[in-house]
Amino acid sequence: MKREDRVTVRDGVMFNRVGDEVVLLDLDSGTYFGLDPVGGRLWDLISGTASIGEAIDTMLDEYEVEREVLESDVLRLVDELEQRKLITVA
Amino acid sequence: MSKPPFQHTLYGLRVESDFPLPGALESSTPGPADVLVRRAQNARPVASHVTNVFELTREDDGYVFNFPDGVQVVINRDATTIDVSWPEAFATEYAATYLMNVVMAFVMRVRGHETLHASAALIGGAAVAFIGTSGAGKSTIVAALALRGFNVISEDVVAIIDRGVKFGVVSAHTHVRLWPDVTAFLFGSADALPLIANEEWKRRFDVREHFAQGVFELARIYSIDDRGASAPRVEALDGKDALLELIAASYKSAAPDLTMSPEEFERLGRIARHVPARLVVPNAELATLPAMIDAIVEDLGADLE
Repeated sequence: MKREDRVTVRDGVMFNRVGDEVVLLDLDSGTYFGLDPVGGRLWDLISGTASIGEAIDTMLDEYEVEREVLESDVLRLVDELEQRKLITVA
Repeated sequence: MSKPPFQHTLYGLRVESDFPLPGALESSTPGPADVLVRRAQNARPVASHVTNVFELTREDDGYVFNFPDGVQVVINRDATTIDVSWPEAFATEYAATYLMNVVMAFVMRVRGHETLHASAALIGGAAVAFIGTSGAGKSTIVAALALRGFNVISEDVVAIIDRGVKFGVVSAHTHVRLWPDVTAFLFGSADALPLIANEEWKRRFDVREHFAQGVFELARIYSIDDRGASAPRVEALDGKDALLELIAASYKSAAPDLTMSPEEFERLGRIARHVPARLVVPNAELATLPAMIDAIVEDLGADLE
């Protein structure tokens, strides 16, 4: 994965925001995936126009966290969403 | 109500049937029926013996429920007619009980309404819904509330009228089904209530004297957790957890293809955003039921003041 990579939400994936959290639904498989507030914020950014790197930079301004920790968490979550075929990364 | 056709109000619909529907209120207002329920003389062929609780199939002209004991319910595409057939040896009331919950939940879904596997009661002028897995205590709670003087709106199926950012819960029928131990605890003996027609164990509590008829704004959703060892309590249930509990409670077993549509997912999200939810953690002992009801009423009372 590279900083300039962007995420495309796969057709057939819906999301619902409830407060700070997000629930994703894969209509094809009928499975659900819940995101906590931090994951929900990342979803807002990467499902919009931000690249992975831009999302990390934005979240560093919003959260009190070390860059390495945030990068690892973001990359792990993006990888998991890709493994679950909810997004593609390019 | 002595002879057909019988006019009922059931889940807010005017239902005209050629046999009585147990627990459905008689309809006194004139007007055309929304749904016609008829006895079919002949059942449609069944491909193979039904071994599940029921099988639901989609056909060109509608939907067919087949139950293991030979009861068959055929619903047309727009859910305006329901044809029921049953073996000759069965009493009419026996067959009619199939209609009241799972079939009517499906009818309401076909008509575009959200349906939850839930019970509901009227507290402080607003509807309160109780969701949870089978056996969690949804029916027990509304029965206990009825004995406290609150009115029951529905048991087993909560049908919701979508009004955007508000949601209405519509009255179902007056029968609450209780297990023998709950019947014994609430009424002194398992034999205190009659058996439900097709049941060997479950008892029928007719809450006609404590029934709220109409459509009531949904004000709170309580999700019943697994029973614990400590005193009953009410906890917060927010965000994705509230939505995931609603998704689990959706009466998907009554959906033709058993999946959730985008429209339903969007609607459940709106319900989760606009209707406060709580987690109820019961104690394993039935004797603590009054304390759980106290906790729920106290939780609501603080918000309704």
